[in-house]
Amino acid sequence: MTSLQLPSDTDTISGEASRIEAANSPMRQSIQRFFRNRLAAIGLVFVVVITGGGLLAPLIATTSYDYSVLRDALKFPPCADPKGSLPFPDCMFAKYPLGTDAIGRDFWSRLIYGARTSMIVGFSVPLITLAIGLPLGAAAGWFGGRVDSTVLRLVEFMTAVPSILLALFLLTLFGHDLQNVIIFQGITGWVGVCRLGRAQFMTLRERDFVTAARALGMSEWSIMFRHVMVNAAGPIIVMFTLGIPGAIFGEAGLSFLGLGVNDPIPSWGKMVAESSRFASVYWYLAMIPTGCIAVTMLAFSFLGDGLRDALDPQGQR
Amino acid sequence: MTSTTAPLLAVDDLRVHFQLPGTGWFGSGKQTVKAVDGLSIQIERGQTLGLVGESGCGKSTTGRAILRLAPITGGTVRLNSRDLTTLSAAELRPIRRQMQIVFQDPFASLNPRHTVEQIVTEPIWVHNLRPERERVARVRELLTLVGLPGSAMGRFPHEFSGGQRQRIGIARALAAEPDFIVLDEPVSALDVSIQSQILRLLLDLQVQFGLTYLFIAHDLAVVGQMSDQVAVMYLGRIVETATREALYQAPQHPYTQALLSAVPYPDPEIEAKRRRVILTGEVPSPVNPPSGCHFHTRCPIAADRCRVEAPSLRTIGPGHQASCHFAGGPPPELQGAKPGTSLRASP
Repeated sequence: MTSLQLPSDTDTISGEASRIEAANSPMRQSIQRFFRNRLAAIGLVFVVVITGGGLLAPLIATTSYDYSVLRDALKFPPCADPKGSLPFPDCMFAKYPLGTDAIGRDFWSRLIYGARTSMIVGFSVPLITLAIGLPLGAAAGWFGGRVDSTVLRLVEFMTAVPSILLALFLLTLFGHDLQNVIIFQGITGWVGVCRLGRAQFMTLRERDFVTAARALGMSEWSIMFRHVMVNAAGPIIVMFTLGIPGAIFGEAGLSFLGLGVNDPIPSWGKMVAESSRFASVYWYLAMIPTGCIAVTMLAFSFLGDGLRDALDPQGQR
Repeated sequence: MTSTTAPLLAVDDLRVHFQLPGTGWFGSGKQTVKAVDGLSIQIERGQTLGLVGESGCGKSTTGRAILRLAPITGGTVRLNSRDLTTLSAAELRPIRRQMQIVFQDPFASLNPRHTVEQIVTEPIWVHNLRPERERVARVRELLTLVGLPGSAMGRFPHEFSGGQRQRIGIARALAAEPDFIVLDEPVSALDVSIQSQILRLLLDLQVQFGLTYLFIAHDLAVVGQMSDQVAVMYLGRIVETATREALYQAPQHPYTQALLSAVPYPDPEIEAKRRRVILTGEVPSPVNPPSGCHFHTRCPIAADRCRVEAPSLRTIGPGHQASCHFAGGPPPELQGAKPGTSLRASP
């Protein structure tokens, strides 16, 4: 095949082409935009630290989370104890860096293992909501019609019943432990993902590049994965990230109410509940896990916000 | 291959009707939009049919219905003498290679997350057109054909200008090695200077590969450059179809005359003296089209008959058809409107 005769405008085209800036994928642009946002970068650092702490809990904790020495119950942290050993470096390596709780368990170790609980809950719950909500929403948005109205009725039902009440009901019914806290939060919290997936698939279905793929003779499944999912991924990742602090707070709330993680396993929410009785003297026992919850939630929220701005297709222009 | 006498594309009595959701309780009171209502066209191999009309007249829907991208209510579409309307989605898939589409909006028609290479390889991949190792070379060849450098392959659509993106879209359509391409307003979104480049590219490709085009546009000047045959659409129907020369020199339907008189003439002297037919009012809603001739509400020569009787598409010359009661005759002002007499002028 011979190349086409385009006498006058071939030059202008190649001239135009040489002015195109260096190859810049949407992905790389997103990463650049993300790190330009300072809060998001700080959030990412905290998320990495907290997740790492949770993963490496057995290495960081000084003892086991359930090792109780009743004789040492309610010990002050060495640094706060006036009779304790100053100067500072010493107390970092003390037997109980943050003192002990009401039955003599090392508070520091429980805090670290609490991070592990929070991380397990924080990542599993959004995964379950994604696994339920995304296929439902995608089917509703893609097929429309009767499928859409059926899914919408289900979504309306779930919206009408407060999800925390439903979760409480299910937890009382089936008993509460870490696994049930995750499952029931998951099956009561998929509405948002479903709505988002539906909206994404509905708008992308009408885009010209999807029509072009169909005109090429591509099967509907291939179109969904190659063209729709790739473009819907950004908002869904953001939704997932922003779902993490919600799940962590939900677990903390349920544990505070006594319907969360069961007993020897520590959880920040439960630690707040257990310590609030001694708050007049041992105020830090409630403050420290509360602070941990707050910092973790903030970090994930900043991370999610940063991802949203970075993955926003509007910013690509 | 089919015999040379059969046209490449033959559309007969195509209808695309959309149901609007009912306004009443339980979805009662449903209304129907007749986007395309009884449209027939034929395109010979290697020829271009220009389809013109105002926005909302159903010309894009026609293009999509021919490619089975819009639901067809009735009629037949034959490509290479094969009826596409009766095929299932799975049966249609291999045939889709023969018919492609280039879109109006070069920003929306390319997946923003795919590289140019991925976009142009896709048709080759879907229809397994080339062996794996020849595909990259083929993509480079296609890009050269449409006037893009091979270095464009690894880039993403957002790095290109509108005209360049349209070239990518054309390369994608060509990659399928089609016989027939629907050009759905391919230059409407581009600067005038770029428009002529793209039009020339399309014409060159047509000659080189013997392509058949359905060129959809609202700009008669652009259609005039591109088409062998022109069809004018109004409210889902063809009101006039003729060869390019006949349509531009002797338009018969008052709507065509009005459209042509809206094309400015590049000479201020002639432009100043030119008589313009200015249409008043909006395009009527296709939900409630006017009775009789659909155009009578805006027609400068409408008579009582037009409000009652819908004109059919009559042949008034070789390859020239118009659906107007007065087509082929002298202007109706000169005519004694006697009932019963022939409306065709006696010589």
